[in-house]
This record gives sequence, C-alpha cells and structure tokens, in this order.
Amino acid sequence: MAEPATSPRAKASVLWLQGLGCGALLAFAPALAVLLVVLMAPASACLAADLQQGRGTTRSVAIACGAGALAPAWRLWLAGDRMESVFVLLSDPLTLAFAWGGGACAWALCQVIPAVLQSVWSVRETTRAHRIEAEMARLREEWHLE
Amino acid sequence: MPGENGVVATQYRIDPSRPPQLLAGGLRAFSVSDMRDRARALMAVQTRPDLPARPRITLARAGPPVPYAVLPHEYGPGHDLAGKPGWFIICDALPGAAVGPPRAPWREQELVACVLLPAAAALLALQTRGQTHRAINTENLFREAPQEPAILGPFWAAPPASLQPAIYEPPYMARCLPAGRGDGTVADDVYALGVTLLALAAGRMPLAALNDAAILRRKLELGSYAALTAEMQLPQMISDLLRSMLAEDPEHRPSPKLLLNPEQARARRIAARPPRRAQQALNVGGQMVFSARELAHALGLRPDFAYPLLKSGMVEHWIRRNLGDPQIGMAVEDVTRKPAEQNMPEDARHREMTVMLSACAIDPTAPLNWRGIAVQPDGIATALVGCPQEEAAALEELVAAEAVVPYIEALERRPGLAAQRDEARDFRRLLAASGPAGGIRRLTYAANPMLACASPLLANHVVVRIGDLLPALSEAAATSDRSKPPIDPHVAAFIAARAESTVTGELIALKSFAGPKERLAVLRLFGRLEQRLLPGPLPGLAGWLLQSGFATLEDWRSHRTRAALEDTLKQAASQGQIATMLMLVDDAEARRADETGAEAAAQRLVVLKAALDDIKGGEARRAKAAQALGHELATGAGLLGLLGSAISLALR
Repeated sequence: MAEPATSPRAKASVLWLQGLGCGALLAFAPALAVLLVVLMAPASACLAADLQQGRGTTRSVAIACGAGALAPAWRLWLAGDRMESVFVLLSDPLTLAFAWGGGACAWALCQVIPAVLQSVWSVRETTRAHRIEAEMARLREEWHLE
Repeated sequence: MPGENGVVATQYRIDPSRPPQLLAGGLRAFSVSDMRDRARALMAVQTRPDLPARPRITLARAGPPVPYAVLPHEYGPGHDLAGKPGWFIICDALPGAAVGPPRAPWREQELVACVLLPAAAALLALQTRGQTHRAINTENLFREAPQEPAILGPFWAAPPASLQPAIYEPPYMARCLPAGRGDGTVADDVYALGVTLLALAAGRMPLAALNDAAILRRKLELGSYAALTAEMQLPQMISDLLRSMLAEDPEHRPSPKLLLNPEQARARRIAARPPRRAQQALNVGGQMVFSARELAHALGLRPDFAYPLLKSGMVEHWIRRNLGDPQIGMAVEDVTRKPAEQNMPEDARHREMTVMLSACAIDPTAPLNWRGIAVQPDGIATALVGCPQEEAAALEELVAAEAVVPYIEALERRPGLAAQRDEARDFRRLLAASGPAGGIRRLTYAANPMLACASPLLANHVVVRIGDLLPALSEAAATSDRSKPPIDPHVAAFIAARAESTVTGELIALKSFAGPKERLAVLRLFGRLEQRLLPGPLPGLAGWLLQSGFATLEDWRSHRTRAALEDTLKQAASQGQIATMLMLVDDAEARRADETGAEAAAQRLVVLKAALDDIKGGEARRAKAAQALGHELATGAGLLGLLGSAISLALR
C-alpha cells in the first residue's frame, strides 16, 4: 500500500506546531516539561536511532513511555506543578521503571513481533511452494509438459 | 495362406510321382489332384513373376465352352514340392505330349482334320467370348495320339503372345516388346495358326536359321507369305490357305468360321493391291528401305534418325517420287507440318509423337512406336512389368504423353480401340499420382490385376489378391527386421491399386511413412483392411506394427492414460487384432479428452508457476509487512497501557 504523501510544507507546519507546543509547555508548566523530558527519554533516544520510514518503533516506544508517564504527570499536576515535586517523583524508582520499562517493552515488541511473523509466514509460504512444486512436477510428468 | 508344400490353390495337391511338364515359354505345369474330387485329371500351371496371367480369361471363368482348348478352372497361391512359392492356375490335364518342332511333313488331310478344324473351332468359340488365344504354335499344340485332333495349350498364364516366338506373329506384332503385344484380334491367331500349319506341312520350321530381327526384316521385305514359304514344297490346298492366312493386312485374313470350311476358305480371293516398291532405297539410320512397311518400321526403330528426315521433307519426297504414293506423302506432310502451323514447341515429346504418327500414316498396321520401342495400346500395361529400365522410362514417357490418344485417333477405323482412349487417360492419372503409393508402381499394379506384389517384405510369398496380403505380411514378420516399417512403396502401391477406394484414400495422399501422422495413417489402413477382408488373427503383422512404432501411444499426452492403454495394446497385438489396436490408438473421443486435459494442465502449470515465482520473490515484501504489523501490534499494546493508566487514574 502506498504511503500517504506528506508535503514538505505540511511537515514544516507540524514541526512548527510541535515547537510551539513544547515552548508553551516550557513556559506554562516547566516542571511538567522536565518530568516528561526525563520519563520520555527512551522515546527521544529511539527517535534519534530510528531511521525507518514512519518511525513505527519510535511511535510505539513513545506511546508506551507515555502510558508510564501519565500517572506521575497527573500527580505532579495535582501537586501544583512544582520543581521539587518533579525531583520527589523522579526519585521514586517505580516511576522511572514504569515509564522506561514500558518503552523498553514496546521496543522489544517492535523487534520480536516482526521476526516471529516473518518466520511463521516463511514456513507457511515454503510449505505452499513445496505443494505447488509437487503439483507442477506431477503435471509435467503426467502430461509431458516443459 | 496355404503353407503346405505341394498344395496349390487351397485344394489341389501336386502329384510327387510325376515331374513337372515344361510348356512353351518355359512355364512349368504340375500334375495335380483335387482333394475333393480325385477322379478329375488336372494340371497346375505355374505363372512367372515377370509375366502376369491374362486377367480377362483367368478371372472370367464362366462363359460358353471352348472346344479343343484348355481353359482355367481355378487359381491361387501355393508351394511346389520343394516349398518354393508360386501362383498357380488349375486347368484340365493336357491330353498328351506337345506336337513339338516338326520333324517330318504332315499329310494334308491330317493337317486339316487334326489341326486346322479343331483350332478354327476353338478360335471361333473364343471369338464368341470376345477373347483371343495368342499362343498358337507347334510347342503349344497337344494331342493324345496320331490322327487325334490337337488341343490348343494354355494361353492364359502369361500376357498375350508374350511367349510366342516372333515368327508366329505378324510383323506389326513381332516388332512390339514381347509383353506389349496386347490381346490383338482373332486375325492374329489366324496368322499364328497359318505359320503352325506351314511348319507342320513343311516338316520343318521356316527361316529357322534367322534370328527374330532378321525374320521380321525378311517379312517386311518380301511379305509374310513369300518370306515364310520360300523354297518350300507345300500341298496346293495348304498353300492356298496360307496365302490368305498370312496376309499382311489383318482384314484380309479368313475368319475362323470361314476356316471351318477349308475348301471355301482356299477359294476366297482378296483383291489386294501388291505393296509398292521403290526403285531407289531410302537410308534411315543405315537401314535401306524400299517399301512403305519397311519405312514405317525403320522410322519407329530409329526415331533419332527419323525425325530429321521427316522434318527435312526427305521422307515425304521419297514417298512421292520413289514410292509413287502421293496419298501417303500427303498424310506424312500433314503430320510433320501440323505442329509448326500450331506453333507447338519442338521438344523430345513432340519429336517422338511426330515419328509415331508418321509411321501410322505410312503403315496403318504400325504399332505404337516410342523412343525406339513398340507396343500395342492394350499391351502397355503388361509391357511395364519387369521391363529393363530404359524401356520402362520410354513407356512411362509414353503414358505421361497420352500417346495412345493421338495413335488411336490416327487409326480410328480399327475396331475396339476407342475404349482404350479412356484407359490411356486413367493410366496418365495413375502415373501422375505422387507419393509411395502412386506413380509407375501403382499404375503397373492397377493395370495388371494378376501381377504379384514385388515387395521384398514378402520374401517367400506370392501375393496377387489383396485378401492374401495381410496374412502374407503376418507370416513374413517372423523373418523380417521388425524395426523397419511393415510397408514399403510396393506394398503401398499394391494396396492402392487393389483395395477399395474407401480404404485407400488416406494412403494415396501420403508422401512418406516417416512422421507420426503418416504412421497412424498406415495403422488405419491395415486396421480397415483387416475389417474389410476379415483374414483372421494376424499376430505377426500386429506385432510388427507395434515394434516398428506404427501402433504407438507416444503422441498421447497423458502418461497415466498411455500406461493404461499400453497393456491393452500389447494384448491386442499378441492376439493379432489390428482393428482393436487401431481403436485403442485412434480413439477420437479419448484423444480429444487427452488433448483437452493437456491444454488444461498447461494452463494450470502457468498459474502455478506464477504463484511459485510470487512466493520466491515475496521475501522482502513479507519482511516489510511483518515489520509494519509488528509495529502496529506494539503500538496497540502501548495504547492499551495508556488506556489502562488513564482508567486507573480515573478510578482513584
């Protein structure tokens, strides 16, 4: 299936909007921004390393990290978005473990699932190829075809 | 096919205690007994392979009786006591020994009572049947004892007059190839009877010291009567009879009916003008000619010299000035100038035609001359059998040129010749047919119904009837190389000539026996022949067809069907059922199904090959799809986690 074409202008707009969002976050909720930067660090690292089109791995890792970061971010928001709360939250190993572990799990799934699928499909196709070759051989022998 | 030694024509057994009798012309006659009626005294005359029996007499056995002549009762293949195969014709045993070469003069009364009257009666009966004898000579006259009437011996075991010494034949017949003399007319029999009477009356053969060519020249030079009776003392009555019986013109000879009354016959005088004789000879290729008959003979004998003489006008000039016959001169002028007026090309065929027609114009009794040989129109078929290559080529050219047609038109007054015009056209059509079953071989077999098939495949068998062919081939298979085809051009031409046209249509169109279609056509031919002729099981031929690849399933596409049919085919071959083999190999419906199956299989193979190529070339595509799906699943799992976190927060 063909990838939807994205024009350079649309890409630039998305980048500009992301920058605006980040700037707004830094301006209005700097503690939350710091927390998210730390908890979403695996997604950032993945973004830097992911060269695949569509960056599917980065997306998965980002969503998984986001799932781990949702509860700390909510607690920080309830605590008034203070920088001390950020350090308290980050000093809890479970906070980092959930966020980063989720990202790690997502990354692992992105590696394992395609390999498993490819193996299963390969076996299936090889079996099918053998069946076809056997039928072709039978037809050739039966009807003297080349 | 009878295979037992000493049994001929199925039911006649050769008497081993009596050696074969040698008849005139070297034919062998065996004393035989009918296994169903041993009281009959019979004889089996063995025909020669190069001289087929006369079909009109041998095949048409019914008819009015012929006194003082031996007629055939039965015929068929067989083996002599030594096991040698042959074709035999059964007839009544001869009453005694042959009269043979005369050693002492016969008395006039004995000649008339014992030879002339019985022979005339026999010729009259034959004339009633529309037949001629054409083998009357002292060697072919038989009688039980002196003073007994003589019997005319076998005359049907070889082509008419083919075994007759030239002296017994009128010049226009003696000039022809021995096998090409044709049936002739009763007048030719009267001539031969005249020579026989002359020899017996004189007690010696006339012109015995001369060879055939010299005898012919002498007859042409002096006339038959003068040439044969020179220096002979003959009874006056015999001399009178011979004068008319040996007349040059067949119309001047007495009829058999007239000969039955010798006194009346001797008194008959024909007011014939003696042939003109020139004072100065014409040189035709070294031969000096003085009369019209000599000239016609010399022209036919040396066409290479004759044509320039004719075209230069020398012949016409000589006829007008020296021979003094302006009518013949005018006729020759018509023949030689006609092609020039019609702007016809002066090719070899035209030259031969001019010479032949000129000879006819000069001598109305002249035979059909072509490239130095001569035949009678109804003798062309028999002349084709076993003649040397050069003569065969001349005859082939003669047939291809339809030379008989202008010959007959030139001699329209001759009775019975008009029917030969159609035959000449049929001959040319048969000759023009190409392929192994056509050409000169087919023409020879078609024109000679009693000619045996000369195929080397039939090594030890004599096959004359189409019904005997398949059994003979089946027996011959035992000693034949079965890797080679059971058919050759001789067998093909024989079948094409003798079998029904409904069977031979495909055979005639074949150009060879090499290809699979041709081989199937041959199998069809043998299968249909078997169905028509019902010769019984033919295991030899069936096995031969199988082993030589003529009954093959190779071109069947389905291996499974072929394997199933092969066993049945081998079984049918071992049982000698060629028609069954044909049904298996040539089953149209099954073949159609086989072809349809093969086409469907080919289409399915294309589809499968495309699918296989797709599988083999789809590795990268599958990897990409797996990765995309993996990412989607991982994203889904992440979203589930996100949703779970949100729900747990909301529930707190």
